[in-house]
Amino acid sequence: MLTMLPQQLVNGLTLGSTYALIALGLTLVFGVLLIPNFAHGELYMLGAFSTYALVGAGVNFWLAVVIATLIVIAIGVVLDRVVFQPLEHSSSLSLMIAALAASIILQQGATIAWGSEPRTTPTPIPGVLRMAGFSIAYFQIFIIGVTLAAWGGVWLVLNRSRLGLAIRAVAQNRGAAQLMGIELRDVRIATFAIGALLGGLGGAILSANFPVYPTMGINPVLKAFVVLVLGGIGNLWGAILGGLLLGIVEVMVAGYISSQLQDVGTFLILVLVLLLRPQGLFGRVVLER
Amino acid sequence: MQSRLRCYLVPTAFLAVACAATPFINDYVRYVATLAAIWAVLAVSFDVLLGYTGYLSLAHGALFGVGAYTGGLLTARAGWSFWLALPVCGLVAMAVGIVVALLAFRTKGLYFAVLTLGIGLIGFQMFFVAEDWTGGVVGFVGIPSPPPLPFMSLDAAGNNLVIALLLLWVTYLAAGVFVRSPMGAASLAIREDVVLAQALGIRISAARLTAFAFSAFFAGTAGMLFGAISNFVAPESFAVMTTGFQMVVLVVVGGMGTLWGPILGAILLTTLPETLRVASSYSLLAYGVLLLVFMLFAPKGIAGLLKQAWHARRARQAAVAAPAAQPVTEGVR
Amino acid sequence: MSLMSIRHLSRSFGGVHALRDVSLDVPEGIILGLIGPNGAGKTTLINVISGLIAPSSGNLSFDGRDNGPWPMARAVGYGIARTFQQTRVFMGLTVRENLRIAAEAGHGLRQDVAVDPGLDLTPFYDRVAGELPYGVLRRLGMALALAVGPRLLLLDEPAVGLTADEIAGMGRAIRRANDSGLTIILVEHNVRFLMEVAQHVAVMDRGQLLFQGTPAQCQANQAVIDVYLGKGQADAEH
Repeated sequence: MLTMLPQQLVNGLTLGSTYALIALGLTLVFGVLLIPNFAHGELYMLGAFSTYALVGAGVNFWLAVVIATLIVIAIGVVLDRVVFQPLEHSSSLSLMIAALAASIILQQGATIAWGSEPRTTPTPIPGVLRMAGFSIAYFQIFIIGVTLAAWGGVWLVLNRSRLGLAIRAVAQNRGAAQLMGIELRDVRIATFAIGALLGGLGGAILSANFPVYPTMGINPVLKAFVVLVLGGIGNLWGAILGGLLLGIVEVMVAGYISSQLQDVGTFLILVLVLLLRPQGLFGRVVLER
Repeated sequence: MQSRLRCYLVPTAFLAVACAATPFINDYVRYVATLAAIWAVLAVSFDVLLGYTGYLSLAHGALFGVGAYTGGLLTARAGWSFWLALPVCGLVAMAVGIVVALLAFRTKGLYFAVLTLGIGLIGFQMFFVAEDWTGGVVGFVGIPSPPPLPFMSLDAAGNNLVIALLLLWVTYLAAGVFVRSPMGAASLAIREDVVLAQALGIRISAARLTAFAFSAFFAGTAGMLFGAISNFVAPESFAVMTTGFQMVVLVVVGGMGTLWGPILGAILLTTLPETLRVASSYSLLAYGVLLLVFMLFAPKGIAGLLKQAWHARRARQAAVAAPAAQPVTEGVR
Repeated sequence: MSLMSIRHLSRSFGGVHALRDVSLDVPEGIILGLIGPNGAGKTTLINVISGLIAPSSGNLSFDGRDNGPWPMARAVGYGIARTFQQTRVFMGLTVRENLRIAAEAGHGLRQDVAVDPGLDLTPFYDRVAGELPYGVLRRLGMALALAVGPRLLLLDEPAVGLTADEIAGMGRAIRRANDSGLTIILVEHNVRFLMEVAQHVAVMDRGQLLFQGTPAQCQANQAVIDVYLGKGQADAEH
């Protein structure tokens, strides 16, 4: 049994990368802009489908990833413009409902365009590294690497760039940031774009490792929210570590207990945490509009 | 007192008219009307939670399913009578709903919605997994139809319709009682401003738990009736992104917080042909677009638009306009 | 007779010490004014008393019972009501509905608040709160707090943004409420208004209680003048 452990860990880290990338994007959009973006999972899904479609049309995988990511960023910005900006001054309930509608529209649009059977993109880096007791696909290493790089990139932008400073200022205190001349509109577009980038990039790359289908975004987004509840919003560390950890836990549950109970396991953790420590593991205040 | 009487009289009048019209409409229209009435029961009770208390729950599709499967188990397997099983299914769904609520209310806003989404998804999975109870992917067959009502010689379709209308009538009146009670006032306060509600001594937990339990109870009864008139249920009728989502659309498009608006929403949207049992991608897409359009341009729904038109007409008819007061010039929040 | 005692209350937010070892007795039936420059901790103190936030240390007792710091629900139960600096009313509902909620759903011990002539809300009954002029909103906020039937009323800057007439009206409403035995703590920047209404004044600066006394004593105290009144007179001159 334990001989499977290293393999499970590797698989868990790969799965967890999905959650981590989505949680990272979500924590930015939700934490900074207070936008309850239900549709975030669909950005991930569209990244995957765009890549699939481009590769199917003969485009080189890596080029497809870049193009797909750009497409998703564009979709994300349009989403913000059409759905969230007009409702800027409405209640968060209105925003949520609108986001839910957008989510359904994107899901069903994708279903009509591609059907609901899962698709796969062939792996761009074939081959497996055989180690003592387990094997890890080169592509899996790549995925985990991209996740860590994404985290590093976001950290750099937030902490070492002017844009990042503006974003953090807005997250702390909108009013004061505005008074100091920070263009809220620019920060908004940039934050949303970064969020969309993370989701889309994740979807693009992971399309070569996991099946692609129109409702593939729902589950990861749910898990990402679990990660946010546990780790606190705006907490970059929490998003990445929490996501990776969750992936490992899920793979363990699926492997050692039952694959049907995989999701139940995650929610049980959430339930336990909510019962024992409603403010999450790191005690961050749940931001309210 | 006069408006109080009106609250009971008007719905009863509608019920009487609808029942009287039943023998004169054909079977297909009756079928659609019956489903519309069941959706209306869902919509009205869901509005109590969404429109009045301000909480977006995506677990109610699963609660609808709990009612349906419990109904099947009680009537088909345990031989209970329909009329006894109906409220019991409501109570079972309510009990499950209370457990869900106790959990979910530890969060708020988006986290609440996402948590109920997750619970709804797990519930949906359970309908597949608990094969011995639910029949799994194949579904639960052989659910008996509701027994014929006494003193009315109606055929099966007509009978179903009248029973559905009766359930809707009960739901609507009960919702009215809730909304006019102190609990209803508390729910409204919670929706508008939770901090202020607390500062006024309103018991937040009790009020919103009651609202959730209320909506869960009627979702369960609707589910039971749905199973009885279809004689069959399968898990796909209780998915989150279809049924759970549709409930939101009905309430928002009909008019959040009005109770009668969602009935309109149910009637209008049930006439979309493919939604009768399981929504197809096209109708779901249409629902999504409709929801978005209403959210952006008519957030108060059809009820809101009608009320606006009514007031505009009244204003035009008024001989002397009331003096206009100063608009709020300074930010107050 | 002390209605409420505050002992060694402290509260920090990260590095900011909003309250530092504040001790205060509030006699029953008075109007206590609380003044101080921005950041003095006045609203934080109100937030702790009303139960909106918890102190880092210290305790409070209400009505002789040592009940320690309390959550908001319990505070309302004891009879502590408050208004908010940024007026909180149910914006989407009519005045009538606002008052109905306060009367029916909450602690609601005073049913006659709506017709209180001091607050004069009757002409606005069927108007939606979000459309009301600022001064009326403030009165509605006060009416909602009064509907709780409190023994202690906390007013957070009730005069802000009001015209001279409205301020006079607010002063009358406060005095009228106090006449019926209600203890009131009043936080205000408008020093002139506060000095006219309050019977007892407490001055705060940088989280600490600097001085307590009558309005006259307060205005004569050098330390207070140095810290606040010098600026305050100029503000009140508007």
